[in-house]
Amino acid sequence: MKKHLYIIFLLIACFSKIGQAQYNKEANIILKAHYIYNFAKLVDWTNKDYKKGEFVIAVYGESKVYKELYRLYNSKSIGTQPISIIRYTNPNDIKKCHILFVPKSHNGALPTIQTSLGNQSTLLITESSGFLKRGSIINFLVKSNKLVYELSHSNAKKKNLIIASQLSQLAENKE
Amino acid sequence: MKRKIYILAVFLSVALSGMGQSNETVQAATLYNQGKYAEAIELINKAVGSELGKSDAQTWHIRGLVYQGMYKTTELGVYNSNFREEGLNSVYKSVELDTAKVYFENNRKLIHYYANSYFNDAAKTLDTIKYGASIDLYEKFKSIMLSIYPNFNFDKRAIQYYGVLGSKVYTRLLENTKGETRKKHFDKAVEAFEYVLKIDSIDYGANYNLGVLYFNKAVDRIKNLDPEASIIVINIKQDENIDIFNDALPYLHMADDIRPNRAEVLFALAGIYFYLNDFEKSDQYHDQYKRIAGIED
Repeated sequence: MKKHLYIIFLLIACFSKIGQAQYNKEANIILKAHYIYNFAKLVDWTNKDYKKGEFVIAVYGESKVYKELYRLYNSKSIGTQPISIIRYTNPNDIKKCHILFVPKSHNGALPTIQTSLGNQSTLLITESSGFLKRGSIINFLVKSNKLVYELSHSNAKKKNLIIASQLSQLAENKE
Repeated sequence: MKRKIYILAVFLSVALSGMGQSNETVQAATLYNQGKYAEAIELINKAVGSELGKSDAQTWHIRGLVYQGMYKTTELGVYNSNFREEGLNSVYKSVELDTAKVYFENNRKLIHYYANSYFNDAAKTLDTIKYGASIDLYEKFKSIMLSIYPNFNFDKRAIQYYGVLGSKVYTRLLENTKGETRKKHFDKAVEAFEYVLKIDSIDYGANYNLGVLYFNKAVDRIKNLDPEASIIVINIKQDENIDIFNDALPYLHMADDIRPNRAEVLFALAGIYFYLNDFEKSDQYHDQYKRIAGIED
């Protein structure tokens, strides 16, 4: 009997791993969604048209960032403006939006997207090295394993956007 | 067969020695041999209460046997069995009285039996409800073993015991709790796995479990980040999470060294490097994982 029990214990001990690592790519996406929400809070849209109605955060193309933004922030507000999370799949469909996030996988569409945006006061966010030079205002980067961002004050100014000092101070690079 | 020989030996020993044993002792031994433990208990208790029996090593040894019989037939698996406790104390009393060491080997075998029964109960109660009792039973097993083998090496049993304590008890407990309680269970799980690694630094299970424990902690922190967290908080949390992922990394690499090409390790390594934004390494481990796990693109 005692040997029997001991063998059972040995079997339990042999297979006593605690389960799998929780590896799903959403966790990193969550961080991006948190950042984008903070960008919304720390940028001032000086154009009066942008201070009323819905606060529109748009994501271009297929991206899990859209899903996370929707899950976390669709029922929240920026000031008195209720947040609306939308997705565009065609550059020609892009209408007035406060923020537009263009994921890396859609970099190729950026020139057309910018044409569609024209002079709109849209905070354009990208995630590829060197994209501030291509008109992006905030660009996500990875530095020392960490998700960081860089920003362009001059590009923001062109769009009549004022960036809060806190957002600027925490930026990895600014120009 | 072994038991029959031992019973015969006890019977002959009691019957032939004549000196020091009361009539009750002889009768109790007879009843014990017949498997009539309840009746044997009555008589052996009278015997140890008598002037003759109370200082007789053999009488106490028989009491240990009788209670063992009672325990095995009525309370086996009852982790707080009084019969076992009484039986063990009787054998200890026999050892104390047996200055000539006549019953030394028999007493030792009996104590060893009791010790193993405590270990088995410690193993059986190793769950999220009875784990407190389990730890006490394991400690009891250790103290009993040390009483007969002062240099007993517990390493093998400790690796098994603490490995299961960490994985099947504390890790499961922390999965269903929050706040300080969760932190307490997490720390206990880490402590259990680290204890195993102190004994054997290349134990695969403890390395893997510790790595995954840290890994999942960091992922949980990201998932449970307050949606209203300020940019400063996000920044700080990210730094802390990177530290936690880096805590996990050496354990998972060690697990990979100990048992290369294990799907669960490759999966965890792919995950860690992904969260550390090292996508090249993440893809490399993920490809390896898919190959081993037989997953097609």
